[in-house]
Amino acid sequence: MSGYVFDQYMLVLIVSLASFMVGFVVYIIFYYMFHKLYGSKIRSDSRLKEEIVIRGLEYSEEVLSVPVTKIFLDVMKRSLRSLHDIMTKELGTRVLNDWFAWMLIMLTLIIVLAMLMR
Amino acid sequence: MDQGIIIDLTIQGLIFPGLFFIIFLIIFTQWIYRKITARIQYRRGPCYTGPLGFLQPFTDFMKLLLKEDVVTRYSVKHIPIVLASIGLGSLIAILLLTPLSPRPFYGDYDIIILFYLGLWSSLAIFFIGLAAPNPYISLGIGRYMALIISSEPSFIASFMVPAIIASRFFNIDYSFYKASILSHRLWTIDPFSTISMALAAIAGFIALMGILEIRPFDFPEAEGKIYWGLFTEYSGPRLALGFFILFTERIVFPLLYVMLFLGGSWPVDITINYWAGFLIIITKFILLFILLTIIDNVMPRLRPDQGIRILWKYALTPSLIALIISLI
Repeated sequence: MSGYVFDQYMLVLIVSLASFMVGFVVYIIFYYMFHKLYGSKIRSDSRLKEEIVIRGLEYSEEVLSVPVTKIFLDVMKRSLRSLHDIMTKELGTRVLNDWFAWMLIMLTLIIVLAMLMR
Repeated sequence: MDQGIIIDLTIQGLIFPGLFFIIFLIIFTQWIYRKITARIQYRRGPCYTGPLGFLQPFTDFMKLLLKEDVVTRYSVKHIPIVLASIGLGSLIAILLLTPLSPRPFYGDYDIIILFYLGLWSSLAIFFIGLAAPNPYISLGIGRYMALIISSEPSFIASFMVPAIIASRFFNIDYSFYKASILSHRLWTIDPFSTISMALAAIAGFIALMGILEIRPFDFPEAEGKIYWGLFTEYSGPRLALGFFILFTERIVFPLLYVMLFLGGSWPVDITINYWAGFLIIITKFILLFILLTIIDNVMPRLRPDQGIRILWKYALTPSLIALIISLI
């Protein structure tokens, strides 16, 4: 097999270097260069452009951002209703709102998989 | 590090199979996507720009890039662009670890590095959304979080299966590159490997649809319902970069699927005849892309809770079963 063989640490370094290099070129060519050469010259200041898209309605700054985690939890609760009920009612926990518990579940899963793969 | 390696890394990362090759593939796949979508909807699709309208996606991309960069007064200005660029770079760097690269960079356990790079694009999309406050974007981000948290584990679990089987029988130490070279042999080693590969292929395909927001899993965007979800506030070059990430995901992840589950370059050995193997992988990818495009056009959009339930039932569960069978 042709190519370059590295250990894990060196490979992470190399692909990270490649990622940043490609990302830098994308930023320079596809954003900075076009913006400098063209986009900045056609700029027209307007107060309206700075407003957010909200169906033309007036808004207050309090409604700009809905709590994303609440939306996420609501979607998960509706989709896995029985599991959610077991966790919140039967186990008497608010585990779904607890990042520590989520990470504990992930860690347990990784340990179980590592033991299986041993 | 050897200077030759740096030069090769630069050439491969920026030209082939890196940035410029991806741009060409985006133009080609988006042209296919638009033509198929148009045919399904009894339209002609792009016709005027370039031969058969081939350059229309490129023209649209340039049109967005040349627009004024508009941001609202509540938005974060520069960080989303930087993170979008890094997300794109990570996606493109994945190809350097695969047989598509003429001189790939690989090693033991490189599949973990591949998953790590793949996660960057999802994180970049998260941040692009969070950087522009808007109720519709918040809805889109919440839905996108639920989608990614439900589809990413099944994607990783199902893509681990070929690597585990190849490592057990061919002693390749979880290398994606080596697993993809051997992937056509993994289906027929023994009955357990056949069952786990079949389960992982089905689960991986559904998870792939979830990650790529192929209908019925396109509820984070849900045009018309929550405006444009994640990209409601975006226009011009920022929207172009957002599209760049989404379209690159639609190339890189199906390519990985082809290399692990659809036999890669089989019946040709890409390590012996690179260009023939390369053409076979690209042909299989185009066929998979056409299938995904047809599904995207004929399926209805599900509600977020319905979509998430399907992903847990028919992607995560079979992928975990496949993972356990592959370990037996």
